[in-house]
Amino acid sequence: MRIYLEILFEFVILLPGEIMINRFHHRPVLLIQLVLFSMLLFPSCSEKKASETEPNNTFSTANSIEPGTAMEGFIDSREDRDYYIFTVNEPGIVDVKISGIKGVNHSLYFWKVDLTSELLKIADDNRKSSAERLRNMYVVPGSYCVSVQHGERDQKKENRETPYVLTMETRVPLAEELEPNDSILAANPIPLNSEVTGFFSPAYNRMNLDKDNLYREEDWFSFNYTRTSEQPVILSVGLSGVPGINSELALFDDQGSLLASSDNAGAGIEEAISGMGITREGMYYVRVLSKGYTANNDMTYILRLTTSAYDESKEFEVNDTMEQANTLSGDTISGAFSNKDDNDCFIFTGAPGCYRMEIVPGGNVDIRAKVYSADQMPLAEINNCGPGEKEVYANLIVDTIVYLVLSSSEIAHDADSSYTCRFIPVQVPGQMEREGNNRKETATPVHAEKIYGFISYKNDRDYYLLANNKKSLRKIEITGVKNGEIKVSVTDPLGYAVKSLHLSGDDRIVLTEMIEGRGYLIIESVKDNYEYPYSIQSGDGL
Amino acid sequence: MKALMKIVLVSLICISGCTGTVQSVKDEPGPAPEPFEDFLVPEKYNVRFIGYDEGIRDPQNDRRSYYRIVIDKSQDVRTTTGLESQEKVFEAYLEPNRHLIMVEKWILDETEGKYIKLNNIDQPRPNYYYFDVPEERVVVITMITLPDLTATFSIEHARK
Repeated sequence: MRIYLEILFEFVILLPGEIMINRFHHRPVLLIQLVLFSMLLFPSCSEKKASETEPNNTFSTANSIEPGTAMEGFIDSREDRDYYIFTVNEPGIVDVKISGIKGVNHSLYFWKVDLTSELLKIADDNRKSSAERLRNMYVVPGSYCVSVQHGERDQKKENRETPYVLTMETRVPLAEELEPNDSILAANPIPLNSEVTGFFSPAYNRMNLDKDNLYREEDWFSFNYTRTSEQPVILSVGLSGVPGINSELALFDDQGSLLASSDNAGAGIEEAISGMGITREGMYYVRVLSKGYTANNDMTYILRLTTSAYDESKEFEVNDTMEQANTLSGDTISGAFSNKDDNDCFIFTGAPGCYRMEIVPGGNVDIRAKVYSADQMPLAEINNCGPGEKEVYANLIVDTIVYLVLSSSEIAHDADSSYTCRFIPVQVPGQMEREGNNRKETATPVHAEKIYGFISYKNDRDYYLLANNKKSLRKIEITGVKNGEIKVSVTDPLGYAVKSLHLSGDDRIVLTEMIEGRGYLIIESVKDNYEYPYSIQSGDGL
Repeated sequence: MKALMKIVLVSLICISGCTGTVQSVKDEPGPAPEPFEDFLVPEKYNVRFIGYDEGIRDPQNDRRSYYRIVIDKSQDVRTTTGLESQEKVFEAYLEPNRHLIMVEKWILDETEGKYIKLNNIDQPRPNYYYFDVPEERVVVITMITLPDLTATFSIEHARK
């Protein structure tokens, strides 16, 4: 005995490998004896587990289980169900888990029981041999049951050799989700300007029978907005990334209408809804979910709700449609795209005239701008430059209002997606081309006054109407685009080109053309330049 | 022999008599020259070119077209547009002199949205015409193209 204790002392305290090797080099039997002795000496090192007592196939025959303990059991028949009951004296969070059983697809049900029973949640990941877990079950004083049985998917078969181990932990809830919060009606209330944690767990929610999102696990939260001033409040919602989870974040109003969403592609990437303008009092709802029936029981997500004061020079969501457009009070607005599907719509109400519109991205984001007339007819789509480059629309004509819709088709999850948009008044010594003149039906008429036009966007085509009372020859002087190249075509009355020529740089050419009552001049870009205009002069003064 | 001489003599007398009659008609005053005022006096143009096709019976074959016209190998102009069977016109003011026009036919290709030049083998032949432009006259040149692509040119002075 003494020698065993001496060796054990060396093993635990000294632990120099060299000593151990020397000591046991010729005595392997002694090493085995030492191991067996240690197991006898410290039996408490192995976990203490209780075992189920059959029959426990109903609520009334359920085995009692205490939080903090483990319970072993067997799925020992095809129809076996093992019920375990526990009582809660104060509100808390229960984390309940069953280990996997080799070759068996089992499931875990969580019940509230009193005179009746209510099924609260099911964990069944559709896989054999895997563990099941319900991480954040919220309990209030009363009795609860968990039951272990076969899962839905695979053939039911008993396993009398491998037990499952049921463990249960409880804790006091601290700013975390309270399951079940799987629908808008069961949303967890949270205050504004707060954080809450939760788990993307379980993988499947068997109680979600919505045919479009069958078995999808969702976490819902709600907050109440009470207005304190005339100005709207700006809300930002952020969701942290969790490894292995491709998440989605969405905001709804009290009617259940989607206000905004964020779905950055890829696992482990955070989501954000930023710049939401909250103007109406009432309840709002946030939905968090993982895509593809994935779960992570180890790492929490963090959901943040923050508000800030309204700034007139900044966009506020929801402004995804022209009906929801933000009205610009000045000539500058800044904003950011929350995701690739985010549209930012604005109404520009500047004084009538011509403006140069510039959109400067804050980061490496590729901005696309669509311009619409007051009656929401498309005028131009500007996406002339690449990511991180300024977009310019040099000849925006404003009569009353114009709509501007900004978006970006690709936004990297860590990219700065902010932008600033400016409208700069422009004076020209003549007439300015008016976009959508990319069809003969909307051609800009050419009068005696000189007309300035721009290649406003890629593949821009500008039509000009040359109208005479009768057939006659007409002189037309055209000056090209500095640092660009244009193709000039003259058409018959039907709009078919009878003559085409190219004009490089700011070269000038005078055409004498037969105009049969009417004809068209078509300007197309060969080498794009969006900064400098071309000009057209027609008439006897040439 | 005497009889033969008489016949020859009589015949010569007859022939000379006929000739004298023709000459007498020729010497008579001809129709009065057309008054100067009957001709159209040039204003904006003194040359008018008209071109069209004859013999087109099927509307499917009646394409929209125009003629490109090169005058004296320097001026490059075109006619109005129209169906091949329709008159297509060009008007210009040229210095009184002898001039050359060369004609090139262009056809609308609706799929391309533009007019394209017909292949040389499908062009009217001949494709040129020399003409004089006198003082104070408006010259009208008409080119008619037949189905076999033969082009005939005619010229006249426009009247009021």
